[in-house]
Amino acid sequence: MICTKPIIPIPEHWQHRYRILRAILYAAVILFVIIFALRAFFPTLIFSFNFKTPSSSKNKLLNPRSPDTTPRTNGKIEAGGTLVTDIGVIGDLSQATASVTLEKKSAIPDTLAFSLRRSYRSFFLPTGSSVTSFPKESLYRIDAIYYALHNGTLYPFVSDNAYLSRYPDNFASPADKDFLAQYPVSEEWIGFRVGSVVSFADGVFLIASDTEMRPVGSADIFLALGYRFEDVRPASEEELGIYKRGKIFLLGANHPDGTLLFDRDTATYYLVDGGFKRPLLNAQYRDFILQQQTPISVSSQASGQHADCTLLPGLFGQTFACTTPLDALSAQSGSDFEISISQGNTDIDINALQISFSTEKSTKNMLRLLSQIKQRILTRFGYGNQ
Amino acid sequence: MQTLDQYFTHHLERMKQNGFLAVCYALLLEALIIGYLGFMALFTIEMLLPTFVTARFSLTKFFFLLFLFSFVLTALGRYLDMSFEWKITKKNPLLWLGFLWTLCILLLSLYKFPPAIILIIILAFFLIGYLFWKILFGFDKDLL
Repeated sequence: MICTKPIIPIPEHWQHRYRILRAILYAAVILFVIIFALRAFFPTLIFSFNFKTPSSSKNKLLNPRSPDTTPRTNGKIEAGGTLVTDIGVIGDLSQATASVTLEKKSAIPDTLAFSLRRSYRSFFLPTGSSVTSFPKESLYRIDAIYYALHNGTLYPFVSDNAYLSRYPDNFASPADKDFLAQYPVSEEWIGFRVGSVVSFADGVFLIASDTEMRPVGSADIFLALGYRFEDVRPASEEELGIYKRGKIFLLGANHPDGTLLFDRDTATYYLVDGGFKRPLLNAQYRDFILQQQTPISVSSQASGQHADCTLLPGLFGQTFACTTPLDALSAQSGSDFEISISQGNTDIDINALQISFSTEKSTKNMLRLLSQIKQRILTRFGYGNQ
Repeated sequence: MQTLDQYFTHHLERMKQNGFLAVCYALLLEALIIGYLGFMALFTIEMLLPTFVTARFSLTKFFFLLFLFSFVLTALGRYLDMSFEWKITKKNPLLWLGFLWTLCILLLSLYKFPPAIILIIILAFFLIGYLFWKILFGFDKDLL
């Protein structure tokens, strides 16, 4: 019926025009299919933050703040101030578009600048004091169990595996049962070194603290965060039983404390710790961690590169937008973007901020999506990895 | 108001006489057939990969548009005195293709349900379908 003869009789004098209109209809259908395929294979990723509903789950831009880390979730920026926020994105991206909508009563700034940096969020952390020694601990091995002595109490390690993720074997002094009898033994267990990557069943978990482990959202997220599957340490149910299960680790999250970063430009190792990246100067400690885990590779040079543009007012004056190419920001430097909105001469009140990333139209990106589709179909029917 | 009505009636009649509405009808019918086939394709993809289509394109709005234009087509068909005779027989391959598609969609949506429940749901689905079929197309003309 389609593509052959007309469905109903068409008057003779309309035949020619009918054929043209029919061709236009089919061209429109083909165009729609092409546009849909392009949108499916090379999506535009949109992230926004509505400052009037800062706690909404629809807000995808992370942690809006000032450069000194004061939260800016109300959207107000003082004259000369800057709004900084982050987002994690997978893929080869070609350009970013920023759109800032001001409140109706907000003053209009003379300049509004948009700037992007790319690396990992943990590498954007301020540099803290250097780590110059192994964490100090009194360690003992009694009857094939490792213990740490804190404040007059012996804390047992949950397994040899957990102990060896924290300290070399020779750090523990052998002790006998008499020694054990001198101190009370805690019911709290010591687990893996914070920052370790462990696996159990089909899941991969990051040890986020001494009491919490967080499952990694997907294999893509795991790889995008700079981890390697070769470094995942298999763990047993008993070993992981001492942790409570935390929130799923998603793209854009800070690496947990204890993560080792390696700046390939300056050959410096950093340890993520308490909101800082601390240069790891102790060779023994560094080599010990390196034996267990490949560091997350970062580049101070690449993370210093910016993609900038000046936001210009749209038709209605309250919305400012601009687009900048991302050629200068290497995809190898990390999966996180640090977004800065700087403004000029007056206090402003932002209603909403939206950042759109366009995906590079490349074979690599298309193959990545096809691979994800295959994986999702397999997972849906119980044959893939979660 | 009456003048406006007369104006539209006059123009519609003219468009009917010169064949323009017949062209519109043919094109709309063809667009709707393509639209419904496209909807089936997108719906199938959505069943296989949940949110893959709906994250990019609203299937609800698309279906609403198809539904709306189906009414327009029906109204136009009545105005042009055009009607389709439903020739759905057991030998029609389209019937069997539709049946197979429905079955596949059902199986996909019921994947991981207990087998006995799948059987009950499919049986109930087809029984309800048969009932509607009888109500809509299979009524006994002698009763009228």
